[in-house]
Amino acid sequence: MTGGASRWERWARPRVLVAAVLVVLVMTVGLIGLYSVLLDRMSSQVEDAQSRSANLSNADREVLVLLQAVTQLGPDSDPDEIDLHRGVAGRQIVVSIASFEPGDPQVRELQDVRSELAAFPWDRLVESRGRDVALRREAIDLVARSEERVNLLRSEQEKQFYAVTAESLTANQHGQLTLTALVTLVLGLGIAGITVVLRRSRSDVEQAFAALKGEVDERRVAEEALRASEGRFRSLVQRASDLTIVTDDHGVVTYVSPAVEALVGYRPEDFLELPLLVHVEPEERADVATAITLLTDRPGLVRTIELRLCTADGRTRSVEAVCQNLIDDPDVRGLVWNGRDVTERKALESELNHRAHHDPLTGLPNRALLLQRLAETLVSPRSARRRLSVVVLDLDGFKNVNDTLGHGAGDELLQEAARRLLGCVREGDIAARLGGDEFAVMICSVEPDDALQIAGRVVDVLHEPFTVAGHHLTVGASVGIAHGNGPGSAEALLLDADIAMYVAKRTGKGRLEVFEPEMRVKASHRTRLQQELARAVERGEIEVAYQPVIDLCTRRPSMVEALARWRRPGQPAVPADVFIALAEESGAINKIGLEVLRRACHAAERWREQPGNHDLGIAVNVSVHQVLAGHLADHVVEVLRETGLPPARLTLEITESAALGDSARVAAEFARLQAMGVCIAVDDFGAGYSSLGLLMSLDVDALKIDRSLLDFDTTRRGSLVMAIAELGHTLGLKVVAEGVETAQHLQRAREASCDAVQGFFLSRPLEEGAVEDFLTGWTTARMADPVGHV
Amino acid sequence: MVTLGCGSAEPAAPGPPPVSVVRAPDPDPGAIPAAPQGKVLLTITGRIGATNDDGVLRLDRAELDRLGLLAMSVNDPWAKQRVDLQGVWLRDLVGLARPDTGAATLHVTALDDYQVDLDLADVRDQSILLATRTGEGADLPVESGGPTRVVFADDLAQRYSPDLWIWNIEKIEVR
Repeated sequence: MTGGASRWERWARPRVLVAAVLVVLVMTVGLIGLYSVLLDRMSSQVEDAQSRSANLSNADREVLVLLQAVTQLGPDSDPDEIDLHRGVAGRQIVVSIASFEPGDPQVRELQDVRSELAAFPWDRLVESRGRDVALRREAIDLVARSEERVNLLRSEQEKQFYAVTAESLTANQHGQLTLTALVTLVLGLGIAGITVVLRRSRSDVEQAFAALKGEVDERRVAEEALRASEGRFRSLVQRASDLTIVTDDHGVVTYVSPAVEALVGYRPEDFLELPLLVHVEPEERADVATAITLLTDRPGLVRTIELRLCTADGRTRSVEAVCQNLIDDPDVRGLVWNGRDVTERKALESELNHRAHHDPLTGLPNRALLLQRLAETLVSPRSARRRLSVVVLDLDGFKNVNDTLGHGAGDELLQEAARRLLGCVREGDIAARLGGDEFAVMICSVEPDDALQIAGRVVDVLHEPFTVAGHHLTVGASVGIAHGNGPGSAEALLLDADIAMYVAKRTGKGRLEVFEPEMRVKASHRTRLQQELARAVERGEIEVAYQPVIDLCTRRPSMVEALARWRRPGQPAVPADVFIALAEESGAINKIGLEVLRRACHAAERWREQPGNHDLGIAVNVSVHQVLAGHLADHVVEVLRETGLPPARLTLEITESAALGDSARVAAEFARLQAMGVCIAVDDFGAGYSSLGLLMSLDVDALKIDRSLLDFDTTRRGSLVMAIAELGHTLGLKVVAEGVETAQHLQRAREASCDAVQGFFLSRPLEEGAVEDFLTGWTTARMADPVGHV
Repeated sequence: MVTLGCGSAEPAAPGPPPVSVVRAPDPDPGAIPAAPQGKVLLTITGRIGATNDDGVLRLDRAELDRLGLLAMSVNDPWAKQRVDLQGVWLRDLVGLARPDTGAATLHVTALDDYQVDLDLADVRDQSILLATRTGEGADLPVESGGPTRVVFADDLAQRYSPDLWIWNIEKIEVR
C-alpha cells in the first residue's frame, strides 16, 4: 500500500506542478489583457470628464452673463439682449447635455435647468423693462439658482476628473504588483517542478513546496505593502479640511485657525488685520482679488477657489478653499474660507501632466504638448501667429542603425539627436519628438528669416558624425518647414511641415524644403493613388507586359524583359516610374515584385518549351527596396523551384541609385543570387548619379545603357554610348542598349558593339499571349536578315 | 477640447451632397446689397469691396435671402444630433462682399466672443453652409445657434475640426 502511494506521488506531483504553472501562466496573460483594457477605459474616462467640465464651465459662464443682463435690465436696455444671452446660454446647456451619456443623472438635472429657464415669462419681463419688481426678483432668483446648479455640476465633474486620475494611478500600481507576484509564482513553480523531476525524492518535493510557500508569503508581504501605499496615497489626496480663515468685506483677515502655522510657517497673528492677498502668491493676487469682489457682492454665494499661499521659508502651498459669503450673518460679517492643503495633489497632477506630455526617451515634449502649444499660439493675436513656423524633421537612415546596431544604439542616436536639436533652438522655441525618428521644432521668430536659419542649422548639426555604441555614423536629416501665417489648425500646420519634409526626403534627403500649398494637393493626390494601388495589388490588377531583347550577334531574341503595368479600369494608365515610386514609398513594392517575378518565370518556362526557344532568358526588374527588405534571394529560390526555370535563364535588373552603392547588405544579397547562377544587370545605366562608383563597388553581370544616351544631339554624336559599351566590355560585362526606336539608334548600338538591343524599333512591350507569336514570327523573319537591313 | 463622437462613421457612398434648393438666387447676385431695412443678422468687415454702411457690409434677412436658400441635413458634433437647416453657401455670401485679391482668411466671431479662422481657399472650394434658417424655414433661434452658424456636410465633417463649427455668429472679418 505504502509503495503504491509513493509511486502515485512520484507520478502525480510533477504533473500537478506542471498544471499549476500552466494555470498561473494563463492567469498572467489574462491579467495583462484585463489591465490594458482597464487602463484604456480609464484614460478615455479622464478625457470625457475633462471635456464635460469644459462644456459645463462654458454654460456656467453664459448663465452668469444672463444673470448680469437680468440684474441690469432697465428702461434704457436693449430689449433683445435678454433673449440673446438666454439663447447663447441655452445652446451651451444643450452642448453640455450632449457630452453626457443619455441615462446620466446630470442629463436630467441639466434638462430640468433648461426647461425651468424656458418656462419663465421672459416676454413680460422684457416688456416691463424691469419695472415689474416682483417678476424681476423671480427672474434673478431663477437664473441665480440655475447658475448654482450648473456650477455644482461643473465642480462635481472636476472632482470626477481627479477621482478618475487617482483611480487610474492606483489601478496601474495594483496591476504591476499583481503581475510581478504572478511571474514570481510561475518561476517558483517552474523551479520546484524541475527539482521534482530531476531528483524525484520526497524531501525535494517538500522543499519545493516550502519554496512555494515562501513565494506565497512574499506575495502576501507585497500585497500588504500595496495596501499601505494605497492608504498613504488616500491620505494625501483626501486630507480633511483643516484651515479656516474669515475675511471682512475688504478682504482683511479677521480670524485664522491655528492650523495655518503648520501649513505655511507663519503664526496666526501674522495674518490678522492684513489683507489676505498679502499672503497669496503674487501671480495669483489679481485672480483672487476678482474672486473676492465677486463673492463680496453676492451674499450667500459659495465658491471653490484655488490659491497658493506663500510660506515662511519662501515656498508656496496650494490650498483649495470653499469660500462662502456670510456678510449678512451677524455672527460672522465676512467671507468664510474653509481650506485644505492640496499641494501634493497639485504636484501629482503636474507629474501626471508632465508624463502625458513628454517623451520618456529624450525628455522632449511629445506630439500632444506640441499641438497644444501650437494651438495656443494660433489663437493669439495675428502678429504672433504670423511669426510662427513649424519645422518637422526625420533622420535619414535611422532604420538602418536600428536594424544593424540594435535598438540600444538607435535609442542612443535619438538621444544625441535630441541634444543637438536643443542646441539649435532659442528660448521660447519648442523642440519635440513626434515619434520614431521624427522630431519637430516650433519657432516663434523675431525676424522673417529666423526660422529658415534655425532649420538650416538643424540640417547642419544632424549631418555631423554621431558616435553611437562605439561606431561612427553619419545619418543626416530631411527637414520640412511650414509658416503659421495662414489660417488653419495646429494639426494642419504640422501636417504641412510634414508634407514639406516628405518632399525634401523624396528629392534627395539631407535637404530643407519650405511648404507650398501645391505640395498639399500633390500629397493628397499621392495618398489617394497609394490607396488605389494597395487595392489593385490585393485584387491582382497589376499586369505584366513583355519586351523582347534581340542579340546582335545571333540576331534573334535572346531574352524577354518583364514590365509591370497598372491599368485602372476606366482611367488613364499610371506610368510605371510613377507607380513604382509610389509602391516603394508604401512598401507595396515587395508584393508587386514577387508577383511579377512569379508570373514572368511561369511564362518564360512555357515559352522555352516551344521548339527553338530553349535558350530564351527572362529579365525581371527589382527595386533596391526589395533587396534591402532581405527576402529577395529567398523569393527567387522559391519561384525557381516552383517553375523549374534554370537560374542561369533569369536576369534581375536593378536601377542604379545612391542606396545601392553603400550597403554591404546589397552586395551580400547579390553574391548569394549569383552563386545560384542568376545574372544581375544594372538598369538605366548612365542616367543617374554615381554610375562608375557603383560598377566599382558591385559585382554585376550586365549593363543596360539608358535610353537617353542613344539620343544623337544630346550625347556628342553617340560617343557616350561607345565609351560606356567599351567600359562594360573592359569589365567583362554584357552590354544592352535600351530605347532603340529608330534605324539610326540601331546603327549607333551596332557601331558601339553592344551585345544586344531593345526598343520600339524591334518590338513594343507585348501582352503575354502575343509573345509566342512574336517568337515564331521572328524565326521566319530572321532568314530575311531583319537586323542587318540597316 | 471635446472629441468628435458621432457614432460609427461609415464611408459615405460617393455622390452629390444631400443638398436641395429651396429657392433660387435673385437674378443679379453681383449687386451691392442695399442698406439694411430690417434687423441686421450679420456684419462683414475687413478687406471687402462691397459695403453699405460706413465701410462695412450689414446684411438683414431680405438681403441674405437674395442669395437663394438651400436645405441640408447635418450631424452636429457638439449637440450630437442630426439637424435640418436652411442657408446659403458661405462662398456665395463672401462673393457678395467682394473680398480683395490679398484676402486669405475669414475671421469669424460669435456672440460669446468665440473666434475661429476659416481658410478663404477652403471656403471657396468646399461646400460650407452658413445656416440662416431652421429646416422649416423659420428664423434660426439663438438657442439653436442663430442668428447664423457655420455647418459642414457629413462628407466634410471628418476633414474639418469640430472647433470650426461656430454658432451664434456676430460678425465676419475678411483678412
